[in-house]
Amino acid sequence: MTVAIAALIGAAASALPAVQAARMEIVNALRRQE
Amino acid sequence: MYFHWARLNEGLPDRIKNSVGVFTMKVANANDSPRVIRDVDALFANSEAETHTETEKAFRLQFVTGSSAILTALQVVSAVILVIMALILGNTMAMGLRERTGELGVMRAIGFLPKDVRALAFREGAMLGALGGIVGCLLAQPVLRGVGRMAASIGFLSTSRIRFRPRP
Repeated sequence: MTVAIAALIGAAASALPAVQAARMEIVNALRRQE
Repeated sequence: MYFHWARLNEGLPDRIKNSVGVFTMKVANANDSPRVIRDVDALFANSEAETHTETEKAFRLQFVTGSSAILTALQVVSAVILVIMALILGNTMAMGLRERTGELGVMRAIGFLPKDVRALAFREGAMLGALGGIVGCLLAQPVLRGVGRMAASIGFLSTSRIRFRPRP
C-alpha cells in the first residue's frame, strides 16, 4: 500500500509538468533543440 | 557511574532536598503485586508523603500515553514533509522534461500524440515515487529497529516489545 501511495504521489506531482509538456507545440519544441 | 546519594542530596535545592521521587521494589511472586501495591499505599495513607504505587508496566505505559501528542505532531510534520517532497518531485520532473524538450518535439513530429507525452511523464513520476517508496520501506525497518534498540539500551520501553508488521 505504501508503494502504491508513493506512486500516486509521484504521478500527482508530475501532473503539471506532464500537461505542460503535452501542450508544447512541435515547432517550438524542435526550435529549442538548436 | 555510581556515587553515594548523599553527594547528590547536598547539591539539590532546599525544596526537594531529603526527599525521594520514585522507589523501585521487586516482589518475589508477581501474583502478589496487587496485594503489595495496596499494602504500600495503605501504609502511607494520610501521611505527609502519600504514595501512588503501580506496576512497572503501568509506569512505563504512562510515558507512552503521555507521548501521544508528540506522535500526533510527528504525523502532522510527516504529512507536511510529504507535500514538500511531492513539490520537489514535481520540480524535478519539470526540469527533466524541460531538458528533453527536443526529444519530446521529435516524438511529436514522428506521430506521438500529446496524450502519449502526458502518459510518459505521468508514468515516469509514478515510477520515481514508487522507487522512493520501496527504498523508504526497505530502510524504515532497520532504522526503526535501531532506534528501538537504542531506546531500550537507555532503559526506555525496555520491557515493551515493538513489532513491525507490513500492512497488507
